[in-house]
Amino acid sequence: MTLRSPELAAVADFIRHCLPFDRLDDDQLGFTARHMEVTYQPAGTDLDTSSAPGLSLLRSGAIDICNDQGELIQRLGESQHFHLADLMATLPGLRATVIEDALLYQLPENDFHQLREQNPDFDQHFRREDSRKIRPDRPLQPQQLDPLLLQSVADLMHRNPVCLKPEQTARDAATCMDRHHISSVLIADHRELLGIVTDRDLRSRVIAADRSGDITLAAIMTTGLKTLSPGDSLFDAMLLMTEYNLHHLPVVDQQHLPLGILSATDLLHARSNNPIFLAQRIKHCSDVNGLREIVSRLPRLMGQWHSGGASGLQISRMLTTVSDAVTRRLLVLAEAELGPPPAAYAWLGFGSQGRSEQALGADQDNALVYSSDKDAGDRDADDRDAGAASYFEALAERVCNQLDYCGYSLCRGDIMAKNPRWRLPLGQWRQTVQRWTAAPTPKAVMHVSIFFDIRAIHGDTTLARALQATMLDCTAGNDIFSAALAQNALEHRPPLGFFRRFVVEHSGEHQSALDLKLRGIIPIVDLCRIHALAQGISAVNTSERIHRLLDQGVLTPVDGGNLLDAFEFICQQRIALQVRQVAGHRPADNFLDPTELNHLAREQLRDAFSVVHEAQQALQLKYLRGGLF
Amino acid sequence: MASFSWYWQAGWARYRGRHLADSVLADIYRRWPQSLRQPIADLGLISVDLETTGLDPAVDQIISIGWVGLDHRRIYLESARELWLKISGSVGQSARFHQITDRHLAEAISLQEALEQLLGAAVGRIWLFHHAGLDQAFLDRACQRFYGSPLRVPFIDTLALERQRHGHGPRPALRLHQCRQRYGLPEYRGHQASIDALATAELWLAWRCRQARALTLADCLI
Repeated sequence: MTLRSPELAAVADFIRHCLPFDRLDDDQLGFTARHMEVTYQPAGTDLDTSSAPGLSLLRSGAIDICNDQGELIQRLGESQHFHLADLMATLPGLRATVIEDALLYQLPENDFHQLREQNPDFDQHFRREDSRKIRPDRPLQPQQLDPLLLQSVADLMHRNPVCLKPEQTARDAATCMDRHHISSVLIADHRELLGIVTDRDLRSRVIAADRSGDITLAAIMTTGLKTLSPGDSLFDAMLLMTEYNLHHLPVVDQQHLPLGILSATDLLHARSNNPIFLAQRIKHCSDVNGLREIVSRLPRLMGQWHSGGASGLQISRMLTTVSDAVTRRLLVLAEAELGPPPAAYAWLGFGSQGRSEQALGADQDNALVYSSDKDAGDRDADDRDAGAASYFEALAERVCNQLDYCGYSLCRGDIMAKNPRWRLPLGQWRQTVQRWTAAPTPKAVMHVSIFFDIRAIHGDTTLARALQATMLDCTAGNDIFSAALAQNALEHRPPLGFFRRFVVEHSGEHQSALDLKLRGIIPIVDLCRIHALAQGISAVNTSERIHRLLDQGVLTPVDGGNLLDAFEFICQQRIALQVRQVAGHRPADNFLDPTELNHLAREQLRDAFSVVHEAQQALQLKYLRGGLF
Repeated sequence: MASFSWYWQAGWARYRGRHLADSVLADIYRRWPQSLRQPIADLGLISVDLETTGLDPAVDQIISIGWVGLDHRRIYLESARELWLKISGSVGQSARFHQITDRHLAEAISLQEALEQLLGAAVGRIWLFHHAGLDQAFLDRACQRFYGSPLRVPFIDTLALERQRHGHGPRPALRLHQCRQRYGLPEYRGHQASIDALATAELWLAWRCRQARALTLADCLI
């Protein structure tokens, strides 16, 4: 903002923080603020191009964009923008309705165009948006739009492609490919692209055709090339390759000068960013460094999945799939080194891994159970057990440390298979569980609450099921235990009804932040766990638990549906937060600054928290009636 | 009653306009809306806010003047201005209050110059204030001093409109930000003349949207 117009500083400050206005320089920002017109539209108004001409930026309030069928396409909130005339041109019959009193900053059409001409970066945003702006928010399923295929060719191509001159020989080409480990070379003269020679051409047009290696590349190269431009999507590339049965595509700029090359193999590699392919790659990793490298790419991949439209819950599942695969691979590698296990065992995942609800920065929560055929007084069995104990000790020690090395840090509460108390034969596990549930001390309750979200990651799943069956036996109908668990679950309250109806954490480095995990996710998880245990439901995934509780009529369709929505929304916000953190090169955590959210998201988050609050009150009534504790 | 007092003022102003020397104040009086029944949709408005060293027009001074032009549908930010005035003596407590910086003092102009610019921007427009009385008294006094005639103009007061809207019910909170909250308008940092002028303009648009019928000038003057 220039000093000449301090009166617009507050307006410019707001605009500066809205996409894509953040790309404007100070002069352009001043220009924008100066040319904005402000209008107020009360809720219920249907906007038209006379009430919303040019580009509109929402200063406050909310607007729903619906198609001619009345289906919601997009809900716009504070700091979001829209161009009504363009929207209407692309989608006839579209309606824009103010659903919450809206204050709009409007940039007249002429000024908007002038700005786009001045700033290519700003302009680019609206070009890209052209192709996306009517993509519905919800209806599209992620499997329909593989995020990968929307990436641009420039992201994946090999830059600085190897170029040879047309007068060089087939032998030169072969030598060059060999040296660079590549399967094609471009043929160019003074940077002008003439053709391509692939290793297949050397085979079919030189050796099989009985020609000498001295033949010039001009004689064997393929001309009349199909090319890509860097802005094309991988989907375009795939179409072109399939249509013309090509394996290599040069990428050229506007002057047709070669920029890079993209091969079918590159596309295949890119596909491996999909969690399924990622799991396959993990399966073929031969050492811990390879696994660590894959795990280190998760933050970036998560961003891709997110922008591809995957939901928070789906992303959590994908992250869990990967950590399961890494754990399994480490166990297999360890078994290969330590020899076959002396007894059947199962590696158990707890907590978020057990529930398939991991986010970035998850630490380890695991345990180990192994079978023991020990009967009283059997000396051989004693020896066998001692052998098994030391084998599993070595196994757990190694795998836990390697998981830590890969990025799943050691559990601060020491709930890990490397801790002897969390690495027991089945019989001792059963006794432990019975002890915990019979006398629910606070610590026992906490252990149980972790321990009940149990899933066999590797090994003999019957052991895990046997253990889980014991736990369910001990807890179903055990009112005292349920009450203790409920007491524990009510310790984490959702932040409601205080400072601007948001309580933020009052201590530590996240003073003005909201802990989405502690205040939002954990309360729901705890609630669902208690209900599930009391009903003997064996599902551990929170959404599944809610579905089962709905089936059994423990939750009413309205309450259950609300809880499910609230859980999904909070998880979604958490993943979106982490994606933003990764993009901003900040460490990923669960602390949300509420001011980062637009008005609408804040309202939704508040709604979600009030759902949790009501569910907690219901829980309190059900299990803590009569002031048992 | 309101209309009557305005009518009286209008007559008086036309009279003043004829007898004032050629000045921007004379222009204001000459370019007066012709009829009270004029639809508000046909009129231009100017939202004005003053920051002063205190509440007494006889003693205290104007520190800054902010304004922005609008019509019944939109506010034109291009017309927004904020002027900082040279004042004599210490600004005292209000310096902190109004967040005056050296920059402001360096850009400060004389009261007469500022008044000239403000009146120039207001010619042919209806004045809009939130809590008009005080600001008007300051302007009135300044006009008297430099043009030998007070500033008697028709003005819309959003505070008065809000009070009227609530009729005889419980008295609503009437400070600018409190009124704005009722219309879902965002929070602005207060006590900067141009921002308060913009905030008042937005409040008026919000008020106007709540009126069932098409408004005439008389509907807005209280």
